[in-house]
Amino acid sequence: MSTVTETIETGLPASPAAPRKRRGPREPHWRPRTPWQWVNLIACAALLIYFAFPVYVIISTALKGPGAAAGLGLPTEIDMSGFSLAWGTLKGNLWNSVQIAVPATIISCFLGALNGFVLAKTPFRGASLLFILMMVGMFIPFQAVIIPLFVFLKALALQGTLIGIVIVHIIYGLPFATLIMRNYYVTIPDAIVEAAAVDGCGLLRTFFQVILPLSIPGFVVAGIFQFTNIWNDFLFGLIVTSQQTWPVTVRLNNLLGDTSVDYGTLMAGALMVALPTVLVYLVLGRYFIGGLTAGSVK
Amino acid sequence: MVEGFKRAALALTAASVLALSACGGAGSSGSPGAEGSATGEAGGGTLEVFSWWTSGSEAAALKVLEDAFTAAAPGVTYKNAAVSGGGGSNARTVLSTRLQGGDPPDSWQLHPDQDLFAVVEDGSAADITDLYQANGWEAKLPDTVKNMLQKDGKYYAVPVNAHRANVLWTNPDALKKAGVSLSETTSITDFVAALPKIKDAGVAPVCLGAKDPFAPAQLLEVIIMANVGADGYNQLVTGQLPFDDPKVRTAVGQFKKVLENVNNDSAVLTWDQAALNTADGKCASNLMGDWAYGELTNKGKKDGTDFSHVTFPGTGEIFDFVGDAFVIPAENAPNPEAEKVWLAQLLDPKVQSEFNLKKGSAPVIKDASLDGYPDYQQKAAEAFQTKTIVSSLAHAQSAPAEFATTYSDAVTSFLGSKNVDAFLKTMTEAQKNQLG
Amino acid sequence: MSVTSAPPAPPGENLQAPKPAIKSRNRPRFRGAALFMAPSLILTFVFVYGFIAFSGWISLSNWKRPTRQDLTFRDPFGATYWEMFQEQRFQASMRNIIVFTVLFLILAVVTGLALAVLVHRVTVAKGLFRSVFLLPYALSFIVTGVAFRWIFNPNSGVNKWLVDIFGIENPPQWSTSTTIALAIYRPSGEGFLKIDLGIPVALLPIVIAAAWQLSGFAMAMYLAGLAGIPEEELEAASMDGAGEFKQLRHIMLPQLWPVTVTCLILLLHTALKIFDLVVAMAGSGPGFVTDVPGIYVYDMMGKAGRYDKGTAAALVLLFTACIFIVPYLTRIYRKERRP
Repeated sequence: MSTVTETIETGLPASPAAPRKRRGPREPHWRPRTPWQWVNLIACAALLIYFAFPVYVIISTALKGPGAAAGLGLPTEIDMSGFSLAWGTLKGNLWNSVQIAVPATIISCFLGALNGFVLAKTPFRGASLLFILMMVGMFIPFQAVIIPLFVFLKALALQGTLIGIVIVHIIYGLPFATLIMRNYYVTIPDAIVEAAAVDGCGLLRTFFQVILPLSIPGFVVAGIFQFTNIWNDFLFGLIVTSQQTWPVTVRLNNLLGDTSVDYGTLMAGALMVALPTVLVYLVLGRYFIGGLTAGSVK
Repeated sequence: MVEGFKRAALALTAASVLALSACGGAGSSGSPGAEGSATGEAGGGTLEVFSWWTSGSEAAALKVLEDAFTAAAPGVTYKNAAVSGGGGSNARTVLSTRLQGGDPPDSWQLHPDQDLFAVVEDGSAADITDLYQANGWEAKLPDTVKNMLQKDGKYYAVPVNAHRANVLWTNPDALKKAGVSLSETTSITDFVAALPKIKDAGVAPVCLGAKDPFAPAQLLEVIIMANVGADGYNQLVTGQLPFDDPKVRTAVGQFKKVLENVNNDSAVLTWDQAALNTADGKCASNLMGDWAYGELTNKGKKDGTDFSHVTFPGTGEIFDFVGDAFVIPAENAPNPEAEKVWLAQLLDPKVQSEFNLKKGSAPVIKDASLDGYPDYQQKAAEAFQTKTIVSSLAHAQSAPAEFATTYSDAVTSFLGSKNVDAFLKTMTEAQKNQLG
Repeated sequence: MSVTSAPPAPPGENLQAPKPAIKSRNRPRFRGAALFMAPSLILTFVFVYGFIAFSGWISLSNWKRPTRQDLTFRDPFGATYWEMFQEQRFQASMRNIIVFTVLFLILAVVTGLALAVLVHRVTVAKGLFRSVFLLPYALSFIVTGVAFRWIFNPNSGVNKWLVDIFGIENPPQWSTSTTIALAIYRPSGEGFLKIDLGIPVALLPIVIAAAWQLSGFAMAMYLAGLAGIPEEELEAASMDGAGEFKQLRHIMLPQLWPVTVTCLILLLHTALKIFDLVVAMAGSGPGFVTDVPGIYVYDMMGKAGRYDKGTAAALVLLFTACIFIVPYLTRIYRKERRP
């Protein structure tokens, strides 16, 4: 079984018989050689500026310190006290957010994978209908559900606890994790699953031993999506937790006062809050592995 | 490779479960009031205070109250559960949810008048008349304010401050350049007539931070006040004076003229940016409550040189009151003894003095010392005791929440359509349908 | 994300056809498969549908003050919906959300695809480009909104460049503009319809800001998808003389269709519920040109205390979402039922 694992970084290994002038980057050279490659590089650089510009605005405001004037100009002097002010306010709740987002992401992605596998590979009557129903309900604005949710959680003595909000995020994250994984599994050939069934594997064994190893790209996308949404969630974090268990987003929102507005500290705080998510992206980004299933049917 | 994945998956799941159980233990003690119960004279437990004062001068002012309470009840832990956003909307959302769920905080912030009456009517706020009698507060508060705190002779809330909403912040240089002078006795018609002159001098006559819906709503209510007076205004917000009264129509027409002379980026400007722009000379005037004073001085602007202030033309004798008050729950109160001690601190003269100095507002009681107060705040405190007090509509004080929102929405519509008839029609209908 | 289970088709023949549909009759049937989904389904039904049903009840009730719960049915039945549909604000927010969603989906997906193809093929600093493009997704909508509000201020920000550098005389007024462009219908306002049916210019900066934030995520999805397209196919096509665009159109795009669909659904979810970004950038706007149902529900429930109207609006938004996704979902459903 040959598995040609390629990362985006390296592309296919160079083959000596390949012609020198090709239309696309097939060899791992760092310097663009064809006109298209140059166009590509220039386009990427231009887009880099476009995407980085608003981030520059945020960083420059943060560097202007507390009491920064609103606006796009460069800071006249660098004032880092906004960062220390923000850190002092936020640090207590960053750990809460970690305790909420990490388990909720892992569990919802895992359960989503299980559901996705069942929906994609093992049809039972009504599977599609259930999938549809699972998805459609997610589009209700959550403002409408917070009261019954609060009452329900209070009855279970989960209101205000970290477990409570983790469970809420798992429940409301499950449908989309299922969607991502199901649509990913649909593209895996049935033959693989058939082969496992023929070999005598039950559902769970097939899932764990055959499907899970192939799921990395799906998990990457689902992980990015879930972690970002859970980490940046505000509404549930506001209602379902108590003060001790507030996620950092509620604290960040509190930096925006009603009769005093401190943009410098707000931006500094926002950058700090975004950092863990960026780290997650960097870690997951290494796993954009493709072609694992190429040839595995053989 | 496959075995490795299986092990990894199991390990992840195990880790998550462990993390969850660890968190669960730590977090579950977080539910408010779970730790202590009322033990005699506020001897122990916690006091959870709910407000929307989270940063800057508001937070500093709240700390004054916290310190006063902790000094008076050292055995009780004070919990600051403030949540900001939307002029209190976020806090209100949490509060409603908790009240629905039978889990109120020990005390929460609200506006007096109709905002208070809403929670009185459904029985959420506790009757504290005995506290008023024990402390003799009735004698210390202005009559109009007292009426905003009681229903059927019983008191339900303790006020802490008085902000004035009908202050016009001006840029002296811009006004001088245009040859316009505004004083406490300028009439509204003179003001509106002066706007084109200021525009010709090359500066925007009025700065308006219309991204915040309360800013234009406040501007209109003050213009209406200038036309119908305090009595007319009070009748308007109770539905006795219909909105399509000719004087109100004139007021809306003046509002339209003012909008023609407003900075062109008002739709994306927040109220604080509008105030700062005035002090920076980008425009000549800005109507805003006196919380703008703190905002300006905190950003280094000097009263008298960078900016000045005058009561909004036509409303010199009116104090457009925006205040905050605290209530305690009637049922399921987590710590009733501590709550009473908390309320008792709020109207202590020294606490009032210090709190309002930090907050930038006027003390509600006469005998709070004004030592160390900046010039503007001294004048405001005096005005509170001497002028006619009316309750702001833009801040959902003088009318029920739904009517105030309808008003705010109608103003937003008007900003787009400039259709006076449509505005008056919407408001008259709302008066009929919503104001009993 | 897709794979061939047969030797690659001779180039030029099957370039147009999407991958063969998975035939139901070949799917193995595991006993008790449904049981594995049971917990998820139960939770969804309780926490989502149970609460939606409760919301529906509230929307038909008399619950008009936050703390005075009154769940008796309002008379006449459904009066809240009727009242709401006649409001200018509600009509404006529904128009706005539809316009916003369509423009945003197009911009975000196309940008995401373009970014993915560019990053996939770029020869240097792939990791850097990928990270910078994905970075906006990590930020909170509130700060994005504040930053873009400054960027699109008609006096400072991007207009300054348009005027100074490009010499454009009348730059667009962005979110301060009350213009409804390309209106297909401008009613007088006396009848039922009180808003112009067109594209509010004020929404454009918000669309741009939202697309800026979410294109990176679309890119991530497409990158994962591209990684699953075997290089052999592209090589074979290129050796046959197919240019870059032909390869894109005939090989990549068809195989990226499942990714596109998933991406559209997830972005649709973000678009329909957009709230923080709009509030931070422009609020509801003069004449409600930038109001969206998210803000409407929040104001109705948090400011006005009209729980019945708030839940009614939430349910209307849910119904609107159904209109967008039902076509896709019924397609799956029908595919499933094919023997």
